[in-house]
Amino acid sequence: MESSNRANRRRLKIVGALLGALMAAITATAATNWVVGLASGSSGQSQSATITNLTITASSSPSVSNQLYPGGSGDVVVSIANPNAFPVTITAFSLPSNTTYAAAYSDAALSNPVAGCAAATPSYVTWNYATGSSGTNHTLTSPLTVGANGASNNPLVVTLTNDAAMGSSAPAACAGVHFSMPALSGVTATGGAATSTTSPATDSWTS
Amino acid sequence: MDLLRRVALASALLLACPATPASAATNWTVAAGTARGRTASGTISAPATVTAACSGLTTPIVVSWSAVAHATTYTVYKSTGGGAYTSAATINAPTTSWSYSPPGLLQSYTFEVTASVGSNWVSGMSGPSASRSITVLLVCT
Repeated sequence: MESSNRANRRRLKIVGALLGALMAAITATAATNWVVGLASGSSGQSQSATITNLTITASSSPSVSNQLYPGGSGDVVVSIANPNAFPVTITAFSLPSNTTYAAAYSDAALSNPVAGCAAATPSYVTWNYATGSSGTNHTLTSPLTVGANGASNNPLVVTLTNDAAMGSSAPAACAGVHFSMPALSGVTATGGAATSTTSPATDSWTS
Repeated sequence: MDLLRRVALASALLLACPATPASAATNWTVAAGTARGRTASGTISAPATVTAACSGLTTPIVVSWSAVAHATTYTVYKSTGGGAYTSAATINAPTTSWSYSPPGLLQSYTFEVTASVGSNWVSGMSGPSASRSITVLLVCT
């Protein structure tokens, strides 16, 4: 009887040890999917490495060549900073919905709001190819690689050709102004050794 | 013991497959943030020139204007006898002319044109065209 109980306890210990090993293996596999926030100051963490957020901001330079008109599309200029110790290659942008509108400013520094052309007015300025759903992915024509922290081409300034759209009902106050585009939902990126894209660059998504 | 053997086999198989190293290329889905870009809008200008010509010795008067980039429509305004300008016609781009047959005689007419894009962007008025009149003999001068 006692030997039987001892044998059962031994089996339980073995099963526990094996389950523990299984859990460890599953956790290690999950570490391959890293989530990195875009917002300045926040960070994401995985089981195997800590990744600091990419920061994507509006850039006042270079100037926008293809300007927006009602019913048309125009260029967007972004600056992408990578604070990590390794290059990051971006392959797609994830967009907010097509009812999330940009806000207008009278200056390129985006500091003086324009009355009558706010996001809530609305301005009818959206990311091109955005849909009714937030979070749709749009693949870049060419991948963009931002150099490691302290390396050249970081931050990377990119002109996204014709990736902003203006609805035909845009108010008159939206003429001749600058826009802060709606916040991106995210980007799809790859970390690891790669040749950085020369800044300033031109790219786009076309669908 | 069968159960124990199966669990042991599964564990051994899983542990034999190494996890992807952190330094390897990995797909990241980047969470929402405040990431933005900057774009800019243009403006719509008025036609640089507007002309009013007699098409032969008699009516009508042909009003023509220079094309404006991005314009989708043009609105022609007419002044009769030096009075206030009133809307006379809306013409879709890329057409840049309009014919007018005056209803009366011994009146002078001048024209101005605005350009529009979308439903709310309208340029200022162009400068006035030369004045045209229809004489008592139905001659456009």
